[in-house]
Amino acid sequence: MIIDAHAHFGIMDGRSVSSKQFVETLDIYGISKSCVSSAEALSYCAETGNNSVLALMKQYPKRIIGFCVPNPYQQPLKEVKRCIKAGFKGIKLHPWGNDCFLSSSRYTPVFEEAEAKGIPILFHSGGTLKVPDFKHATPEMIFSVAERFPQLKMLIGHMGLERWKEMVERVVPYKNLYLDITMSMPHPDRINIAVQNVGAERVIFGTDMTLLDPAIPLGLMQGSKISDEEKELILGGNIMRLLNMEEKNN
Amino acid sequence: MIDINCLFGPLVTSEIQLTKITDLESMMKDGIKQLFITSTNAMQYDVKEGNKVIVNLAKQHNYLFPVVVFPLDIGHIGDVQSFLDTATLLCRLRIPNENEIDQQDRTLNRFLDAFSDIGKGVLVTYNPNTHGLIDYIAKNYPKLSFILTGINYPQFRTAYSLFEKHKNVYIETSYFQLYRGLEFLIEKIGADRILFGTNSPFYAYQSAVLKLKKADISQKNNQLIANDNINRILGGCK
Repeated sequence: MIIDAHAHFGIMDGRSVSSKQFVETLDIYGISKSCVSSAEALSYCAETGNNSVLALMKQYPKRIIGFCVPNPYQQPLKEVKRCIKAGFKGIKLHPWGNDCFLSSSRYTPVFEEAEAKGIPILFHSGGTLKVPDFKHATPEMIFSVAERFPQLKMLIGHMGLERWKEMVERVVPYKNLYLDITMSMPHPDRINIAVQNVGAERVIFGTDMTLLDPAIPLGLMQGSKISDEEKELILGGNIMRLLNMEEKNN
Repeated sequence: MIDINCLFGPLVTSEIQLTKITDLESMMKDGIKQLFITSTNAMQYDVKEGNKVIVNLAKQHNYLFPVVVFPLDIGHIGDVQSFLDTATLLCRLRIPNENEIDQQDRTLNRFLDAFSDIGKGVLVTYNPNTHGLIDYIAKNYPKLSFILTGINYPQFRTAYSLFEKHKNVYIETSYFQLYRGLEFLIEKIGADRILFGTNSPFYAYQSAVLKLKKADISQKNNQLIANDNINRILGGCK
């Protein structure tokens, strides 16, 4: 079973797709489930954006796993609680998009809630390839949060982007940090190196659709030199474990 | 499928040591039947030696086609002829990273003047620094087809004007990672200006293959991108 741990719904790069097209893409690539956060909520109104994902979840309950996006300037804890109650299973943070450092106290209530409830947090790291950003979620900030909240399960979106090699090496001691492989550059050895450093149990598949094409990470997985068991963990086993999901129940 | 952007040779990135002929054979097994190969040595260090290795390699394998690199930073116009002597139908410009090339650069114009008579296509890496140069050469060398690599969706925003202005400008697909990206490109510039490429071994070639196989496009457009466009541009391969 392939589960995409990192997807977006809404306007991306000036384009959007319908809910039907979104699920069609999952079918085309053989993706069973998709962890979806709202594109709009990442930068504008969190509540409106999260509601659009909620509607998608209700339309395709077996395919869509909601990740809610709290805006750190818009009562983030209240929004997280509202969304979790509505059925969201994870949280997506965008420190760069929301111009708020990952280490900011604005995020603290969200971390506390997520740790207490066992809710995984995926967060963006690295800005973009064209506009690198190393201020909003630096390795130091990430490791500091991981130390302050040792039971909090955090997925480092894009593995640190341009600094992925550094991230892969430095993240090793922090057992509650996971590497999300989503990136627009399919460097063929990236997955091999990540697995060598942190083990397949801490590497997680994601696509970043509907910004990037799922062919990129799926091709990268095809070309990686890891065992079938390791691929199964990365492609779905790990995120299911973090979400406390069991395959038989899906 | 014909891969027009495959690199071969020693690489500077630490995690990839060397491309081997077996790597290319793996690509063949996955459906890429012909490869246009560029020497990484020629792109980064020793141009003449790199070109020589690639040309010789292609002579030994009938599925390989050499792409000779022409460096704009050779610094001596007298060397132009020696590169023209080894030029292939598809060549590649090596452009210094740091500085924008002067459009009146004598080496560039001497090369393209002569290459217009013997060659067909030119691979060029696109970035904002090369935009003006590509605009100039596409306009002034209409007999040549300029195939742009290095364009992902952010770069396409600026590169788009080149496709609007010049019918002899094409895009190679390996960098373009936008969701439903091939469908998007067909809508914007037409399938007859899109060429399949992998950027292997810097990128996993499987991603490029999957992108084309899964694209929601007609069989005709798929064939144009995979094979027909490059064959038309070069007037048929070997």
